[in-house]
Amino acid sequence: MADVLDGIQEEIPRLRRFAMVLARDRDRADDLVQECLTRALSRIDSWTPGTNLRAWLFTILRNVHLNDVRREGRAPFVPDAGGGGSQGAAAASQEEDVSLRELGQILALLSNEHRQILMLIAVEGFSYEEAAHICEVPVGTVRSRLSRAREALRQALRGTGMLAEAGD
Amino acid sequence: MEQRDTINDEQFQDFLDGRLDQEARTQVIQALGAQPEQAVRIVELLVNDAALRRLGQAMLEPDVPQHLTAMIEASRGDPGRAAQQHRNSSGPTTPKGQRAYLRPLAASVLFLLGLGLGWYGFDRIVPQLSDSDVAYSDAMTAFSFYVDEPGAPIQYSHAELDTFLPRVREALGRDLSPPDLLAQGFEFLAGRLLPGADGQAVLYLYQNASDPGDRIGIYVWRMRADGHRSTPLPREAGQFVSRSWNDTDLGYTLLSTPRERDFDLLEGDIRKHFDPQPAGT
Repeated sequence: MADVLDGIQEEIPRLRRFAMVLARDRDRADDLVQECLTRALSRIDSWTPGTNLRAWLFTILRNVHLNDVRREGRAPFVPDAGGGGSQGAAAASQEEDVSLRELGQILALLSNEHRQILMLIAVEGFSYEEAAHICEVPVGTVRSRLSRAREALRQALRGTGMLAEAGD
Repeated sequence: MEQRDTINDEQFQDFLDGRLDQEARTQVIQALGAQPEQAVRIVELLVNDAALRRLGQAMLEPDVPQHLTAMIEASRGDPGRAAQQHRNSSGPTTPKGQRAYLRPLAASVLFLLGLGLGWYGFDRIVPQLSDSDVAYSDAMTAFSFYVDEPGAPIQYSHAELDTFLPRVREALGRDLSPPDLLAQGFEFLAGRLLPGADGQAVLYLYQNASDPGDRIGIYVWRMRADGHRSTPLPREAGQFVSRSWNDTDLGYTLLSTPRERDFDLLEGDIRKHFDPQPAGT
């Protein structure tokens, strides 16, 4: 039991990072992590030793977020749903450099689904199968969603001029 | 054979995520040689993924709020009971009252500092990766793609210097022809424009006459602000060794696999070519 608790504690920084991607607000993110830990600790017997503890925690965290969104009647943040949201923002920063800060800003303009899948695969290093489990979708959906997310990010960065010449 | 010449999206993503075995990976590399647009796209996506990882690293905060770690500590006796206690506790446990005044204060400081940070940056003032760190990472990412793959696509070959050099001038603001490194056994193979830490960067790729050809790369990027000449900084990461330095407005990284070679002579020739005025003068 102590090992599992140690493992959960070690995952808190990663949980906070993913919660920031979901909630986009530090206070809300920490509230999500707190509720996630509460649920995890109360259901700790349901975790199967030998399976991926991190994936289990991320699944709980995402579910907490979805419940939070449903309870408060808030729609997930999808700025480009109306068309061109991210492109417009990208165009506005044509004269600016694209650093990590701006990458963060551009990432924030992607849809919630795209941000989540990029974080899970490219940053957290989950396998497609683990990401599918966390997002409760088929592996094929993860693959197609990831493809679209990468392309959306690429196009948004191209909009900044950062990649405009690389493909010529 | 025709199937080998095309890459479907599934192969594309699997290649990016390292899910292909060596044979499949080689097939993709060969196919990329025949599809320059796809090759450019895959390089861009590799660079983007590397940038996302750096961003993720910057977002990772080792200092965890005490109320979160306290939950774990309280659970070491009775996890279920501790969780229930947290669930039943009244009022928010997040110290929002404390944050309430810190947040506008922090925002004001950021504003005064002129940092147009987004929502990531708001909570991530420190640590910030320097432009040099970002450029170094970009250089490693770009070189790692080209150094081991003889079939890697060439954007501008040595025969296309007339086209390449004006693009270099646009990207870096200077006329920077590739240095002549024949005295060290390396011939200019190709040049490529890449996204850099601040606008564009250029990778000069060289190869010697060994079989298979051994490659080195020179990654040049434009700095955000004019700086001072620096002496070369040697670094080792993974399978590569490198030396990084900068002159007044450009940064340079010489990359190589850690094989026996005279790095001093290579570096000397390169610096003399790009910046005849030596450091410290």
